[in-house]
Amino acid sequence: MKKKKLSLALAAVMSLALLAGCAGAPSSSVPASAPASQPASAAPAGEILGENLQYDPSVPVNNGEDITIKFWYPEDVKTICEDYIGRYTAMHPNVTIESNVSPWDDYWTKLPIAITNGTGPDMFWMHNAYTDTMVPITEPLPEDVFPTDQLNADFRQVELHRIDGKLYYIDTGLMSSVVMYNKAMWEEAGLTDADIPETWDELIEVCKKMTKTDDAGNIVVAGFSYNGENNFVSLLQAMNYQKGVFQYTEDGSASLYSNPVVIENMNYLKSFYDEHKIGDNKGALNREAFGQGRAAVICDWTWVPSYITSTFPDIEMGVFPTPSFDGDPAAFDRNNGECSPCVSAKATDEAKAVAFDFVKYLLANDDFIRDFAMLNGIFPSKYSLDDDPTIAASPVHQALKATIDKTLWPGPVPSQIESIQGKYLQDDFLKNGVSAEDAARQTDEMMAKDLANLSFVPVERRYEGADRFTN
Amino acid sequence: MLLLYGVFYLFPIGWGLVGSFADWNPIKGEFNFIGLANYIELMGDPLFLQSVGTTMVFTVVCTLCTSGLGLLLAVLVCGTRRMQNFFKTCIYLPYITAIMSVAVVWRWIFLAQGGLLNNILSSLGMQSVDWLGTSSTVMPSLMLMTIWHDVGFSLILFIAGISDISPVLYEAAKVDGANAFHLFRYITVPMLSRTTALVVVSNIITYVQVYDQVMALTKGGPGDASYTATYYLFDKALGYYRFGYASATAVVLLVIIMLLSLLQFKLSGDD
Repeated sequence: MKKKKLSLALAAVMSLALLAGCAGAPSSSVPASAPASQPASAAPAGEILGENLQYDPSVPVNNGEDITIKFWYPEDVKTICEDYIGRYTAMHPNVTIESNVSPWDDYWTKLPIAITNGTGPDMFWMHNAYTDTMVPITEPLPEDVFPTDQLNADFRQVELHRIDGKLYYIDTGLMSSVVMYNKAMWEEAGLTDADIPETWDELIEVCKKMTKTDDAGNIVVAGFSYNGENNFVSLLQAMNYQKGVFQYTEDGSASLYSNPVVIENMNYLKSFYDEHKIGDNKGALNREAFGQGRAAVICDWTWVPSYITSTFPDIEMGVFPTPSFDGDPAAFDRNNGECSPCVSAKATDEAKAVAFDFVKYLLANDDFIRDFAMLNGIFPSKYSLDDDPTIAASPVHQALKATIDKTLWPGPVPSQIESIQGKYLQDDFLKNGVSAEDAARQTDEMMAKDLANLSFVPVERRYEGADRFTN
Repeated sequence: MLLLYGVFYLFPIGWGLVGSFADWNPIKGEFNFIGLANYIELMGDPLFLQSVGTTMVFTVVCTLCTSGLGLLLAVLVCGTRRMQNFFKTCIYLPYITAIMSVAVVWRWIFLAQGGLLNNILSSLGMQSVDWLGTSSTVMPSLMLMTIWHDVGFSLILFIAGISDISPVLYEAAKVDGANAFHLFRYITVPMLSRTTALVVVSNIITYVQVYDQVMALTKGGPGDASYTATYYLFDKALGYYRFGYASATAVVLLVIIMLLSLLQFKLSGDD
């Protein structure tokens, strides 16, 4: 009997440990101080940066007194962050910026909890999918440091980010989708530049020529792949916007996937695999398959080309704009912004002031905006870089420039919502045998339930071409 | 020691229990008592009920397989005169390897394109299978990896149990004409009843909380085909920051574990 009680007690304690996981915030390791790299070309002291929003490096920070602030960012941006931390601290040697770098998923798991319990950073890298989570613990951009008129004069779609009258971040650049193709496979299939497709039907035809199967009928090289993550959903959203269908109700309380046009687009996308046999659901994540030579063509966010170039340097890649149904879509695709770094509401006043000074330095600095745009394949949201020769020479940006003015931002779609889209609109439909109608209906139901707990405000209807949309 | 235990274990557990009756979002600084609302919502959520069902199937299959296989392997290993330590080490080695590391290897085995299993199928002229990306194969795949990883735990406990059985019993039975099956059925199995209870209860407790494999390999997908109860709990806690709701989930899981453990004790006749 004693053993029984002991075993039950053990069971109880072990299972209640689950509660402990909920009750206590995960311990945050003391951020390792990463020595900032030496600047490649620090701006000469005294040179004022920026046209409207200006940064004067000669103005002392924290009255010239020593101060250390903590900056957390994901490893994807480690190099550029270290570069610009180095440039900034070279101008302001009294400032030390301690870096803490994490993989993307870990970063977003620990960041909100760490800030909430007071062990987080003073400044952090932001992504708009986490707006709902982060805003309660983020300090708004102070008007005296970031005057609204100056921000609007320098940057695109600033006002779309205003929440209850406050700005927490702005976009440093905008990304959307482009199509990437393997040049060697393209040529092997006898295709030339003249074959670059402008419509989805044309895309299917060229992809058929590059698809290869083995004797058992397994696809060994997919002509086209949308496998993994939310890539099917991303393409679907592009097609929905192209046919003039908004994704969300105006108040953000529900999604609008139970719509004949959406159903038609879902089935059309699925026909890429089922009917046209240019790919299948068994392949790896599209960009990995592309890099490994298992997919000839993919359509993905514009940060992907630089990922492929750096991860799979042997792949010779071409890029062209995302196709549409008829060359004159209501919008080509959604766009999404890369956010400026944010400042923690829990930071001390001194740390906040230094952190905002650093953010201002980045935003006023065209070098940073350009470098980050090149690194991430984003179109700079700063007007001063519209005709920048470096940007203009980039094939990715050339492809992006063809569509970017006809892309729309749905708003800061919460990461939880993207997860639901991936599970029900994509996986259930593609892999679990659920019909398009049922998948769309279930997605709408799940979204409505979750959106009730989130403060998502769509801005789709503020798109310039909104009058061509039908819902 | 008691103070440390209280601060780092009992207090968070108690706080979690209290929090299960609250609308609790630490990021937004919200903590409002809402009575049983979290529990009512939980019981009405088809995804939670489905994830509990998935967890139960996983628990039953993995517990039976790791316990049964562990017992069988223990008997075989104990009956081996040569290289006994080698076999023990080989079977136990996966268990002391972190499940996340094991998952990386099994991810490659299960890969739809170029994975070991599919290469074998392909060499036999068969169509490849998306083991982790198909709703009908994802859970069996996770179970297979888990059983391979955990069988060493059962093995070691059963070997310890077998070594405690007096050889006199076996010798006496042999004199009475018992064969190998009789020895196993009428001596080994009954004499290992306490060890078996320990193995089964430990496995139940472990498998009801299955999370690492799901997180590492499927993240609950495809769709919600591999959503387990603990993955559901963590999703609500760290995906939505609904700590109160997640705490209610944990309490329900606690009750389930206690009921399963009680049932097991009843069935094994241990008073």
